[in-house]
Amino acid sequence: MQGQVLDVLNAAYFDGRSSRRYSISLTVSDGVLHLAGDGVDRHEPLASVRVSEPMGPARILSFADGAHCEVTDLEALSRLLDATGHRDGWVVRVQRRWDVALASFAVIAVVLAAGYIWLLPWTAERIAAALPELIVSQIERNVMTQIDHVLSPSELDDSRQKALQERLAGYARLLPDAPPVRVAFRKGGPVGANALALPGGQIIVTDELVNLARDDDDIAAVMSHELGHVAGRHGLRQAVHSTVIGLVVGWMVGDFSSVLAIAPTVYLQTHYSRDFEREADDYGARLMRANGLSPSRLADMLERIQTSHQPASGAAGKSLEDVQKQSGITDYFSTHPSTAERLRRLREN
Amino acid sequence: MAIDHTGEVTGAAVSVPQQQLPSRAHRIEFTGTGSEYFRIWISNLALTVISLGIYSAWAKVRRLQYFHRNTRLGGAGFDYHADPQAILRGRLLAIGLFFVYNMLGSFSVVAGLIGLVAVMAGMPWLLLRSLKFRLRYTSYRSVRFRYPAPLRGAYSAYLLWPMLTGFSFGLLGPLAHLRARQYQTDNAAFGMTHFHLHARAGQFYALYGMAMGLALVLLGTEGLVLWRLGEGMINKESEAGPGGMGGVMGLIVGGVLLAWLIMIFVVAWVQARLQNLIWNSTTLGQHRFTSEVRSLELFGLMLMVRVLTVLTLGLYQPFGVIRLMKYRLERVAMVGAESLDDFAAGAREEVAAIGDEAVEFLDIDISL
Repeated sequence: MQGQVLDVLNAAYFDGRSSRRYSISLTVSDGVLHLAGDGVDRHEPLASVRVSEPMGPARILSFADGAHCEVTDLEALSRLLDATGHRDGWVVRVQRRWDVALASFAVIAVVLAAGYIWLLPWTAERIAAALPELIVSQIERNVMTQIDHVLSPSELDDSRQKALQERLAGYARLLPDAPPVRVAFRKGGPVGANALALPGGQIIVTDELVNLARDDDDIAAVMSHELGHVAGRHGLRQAVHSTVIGLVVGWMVGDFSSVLAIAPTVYLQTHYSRDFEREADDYGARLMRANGLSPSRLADMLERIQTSHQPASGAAGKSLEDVQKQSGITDYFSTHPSTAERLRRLREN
Repeated sequence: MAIDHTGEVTGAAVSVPQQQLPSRAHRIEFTGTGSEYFRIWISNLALTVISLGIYSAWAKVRRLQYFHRNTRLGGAGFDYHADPQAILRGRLLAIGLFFVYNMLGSFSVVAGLIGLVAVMAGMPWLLLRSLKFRLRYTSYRSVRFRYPAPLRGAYSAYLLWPMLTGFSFGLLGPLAHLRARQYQTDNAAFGMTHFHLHARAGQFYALYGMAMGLALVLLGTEGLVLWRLGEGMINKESEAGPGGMGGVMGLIVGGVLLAWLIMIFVVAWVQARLQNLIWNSTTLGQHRFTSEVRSLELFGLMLMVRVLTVLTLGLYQPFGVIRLMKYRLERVAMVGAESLDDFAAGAREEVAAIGDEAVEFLDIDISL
C-alpha cells in the first residue's frame, strides 16, 4: 500500500458485544483498514485483519476482539484485496475449480480401486490371522446356532461319522501345515447335498452329500476342499471383506438401511469369493495328491452336487455345460467361479 | 443476495422497546448451491484420502463454514469458528478411546463389560461437551451461541430417560425424546438470550402415535394387497401349469420396493412434523419461530435425492445434502421485533473438541 485511497466499500459491521448491525464504509490507506459511519470509527492494521475465504454471498473481515465486517460487494472487495497484496491459501484457490474437482475424483477412484484390489485383501488376511481365538470361537458359535435353525441333526450313526472324520484327519496328517480337522454332520434338508467351512475351522457335511458319494474317498475329496477354506481362514477374511465393503458402499450411497446398497455390495464380494474357491480347490487337490488320490474325484463330486440341486425334471439328460449356458447371467453373479472352469482346472491337474 | 430487513431501522434500534409487537417475520435464506458444494466436498475428500485422514479436520471446518455462511437471516450470515487443530486432537483422542474400548472386549468379557459401563457413564458428558462445542463456535452477527447446561441434566436426559424408556417397553419413549429436546433447547443461548422449548408431552405422544398408525396402515394395506395378488397368481398357476414364477418374483420385488417407499414416506412425515413441532414451539427471548415443512414435499425431495445418489454411485450426495438443507432451512422464519439488533453477547470460554468428535465418531445424531 503506497498511500493512495482505494474504492470506498459499503459493509456491515458487528462489534462482537451485541447483534447490532452498523452500516459502515471501508477504506484502506497506508496499510490500515478504516471503518467509518453509523457511529463507528475504527482503524486496524491490515496485518491483523483476517479475511475469510470466498464462501457464500459475503466475505468476512474479522478482528482479534471478535468484531467483524461482512462485505457483500465481492467484486469491489477482491479489487481491494488484490491491491493490498492479499492472496488466498492454495486450498481456497483450488477448491472452486472444476478441473481440480475432476482430478480429485480421479484420485478418489484410483484410491478406491487400489484399496479394493490390494489393500482390502491384504488387511483382511492380517486381521483374520491376528483375531484372538476368543472372538473367533464366539463368531463360530453364533454361526453354528444360525445353521442349526435351518439344518437338523444328522441321521448317520456315530461310528460312521467318526470313521469319516478319522479318514480326513489321516489325510491331513500328510500335509505339515494342515489345520486341525473338526467335522460335524447335519441333515441338509432344504440345502441338500452340501459342505461348508465355518470361520473358526469347523467343517459341516450334510447327510445328503455322504449318500451322494460313490465311496468315502469322494467325501474326503469334498472335505479337503473345505479344509482349504479353513487353512486360508477364508470365512474370517470374507467377514472382513463384507464388513468393509458394506461400510464403504453404505457411506457412498449415504444410507445404511437402503435396500439399494445391497446389490453392489454382494457383487463386489463375488470377486473375492471366486478367488477363495479356486484357492480351496487347489488346496484340496494338493491334499488328495499327497494321499495318492486323483483331484478329479473332487470334480466328479462337484458335478454330482450340482446335478442333485437341479429340479428333477429339468436337468435330467442335460450335460452340465447346457445347464451352465442356460443359467447365463446368474452364473456371473454367483459366488462360485463357473463350475465348468473349476472342473477343467481340477481335471487338468 | 440477502434482503436487508434491518438497514432502515438501525439508527433507532437501540431505543426501540422489544415489546413493540406485532412484528415481522425474518425468513431464513440458504444461498448454498450443489455445484459449489460438490467442488468443496470432492476436493475435501481427495485431500483427506491423500493425507491419510489428517485433513478431515480441516475438511469438517470448511464444510460447516460453507453451511453456516450460506445460512442468512435478517441480512446477515451465520459463521463457524472451530479450530481445525483442536478438532484433529479431539478426533485422534476419540479414535484412541474407541480402539481401547474395542481391545478391552478381546482381553476378557469382564474388561469388555467394564468398558461398556464406562462408555455408557461417559456418554452424557460427551454429549454435553459436544453441544457446548457446536454452539460455542457458531455465531450470528458476531454474537456467539452458548450452552451453559448443567451436567446433571445430561445424565437425566441421555441416561435416565433412555433407561426408563427401556423399562417401560418404549411407552415413555416420546416423553424421553421431549426431555432430551428440552435439555438441548432450554440450555442453549444466543449471547445472553435464552432459547426455550414450549412443546408439551401430549404433542410428542400424538406425533409418535400418528407415525405408528401411518406405518401400520400403509404397510398393512400393502401386505393385504400383495397377499391377495399372490393368492390369485398361485391359483391361476396351478390351473395353467408352471410359468407364473416370473409374476411371483415381480410381486416380491415390487413389494420390497413399495415397503421401502413407505418407509421413506414415514421417515419424511416424522421429520417434517418433528421439525415443525419443535421450531413452532421454540422461543428466543421475545422472538419465536415458525416452521412449515410439508411431508409430501420433503418425501419427494428425499426420494429423489436417494435415487439419484444411488444412480450416481454417491456423486449426487453433496447436491442432495444442499437441496434438503435448503428446503428445510428456508421453511423456517423468526418472528419478533422488527430489528434483530438487541441481542447482547455473553462471555466466551474455550471448549475442547473431544465431545463433538467422539459423538461424531460413534455416529450419534443429537439433532434429533
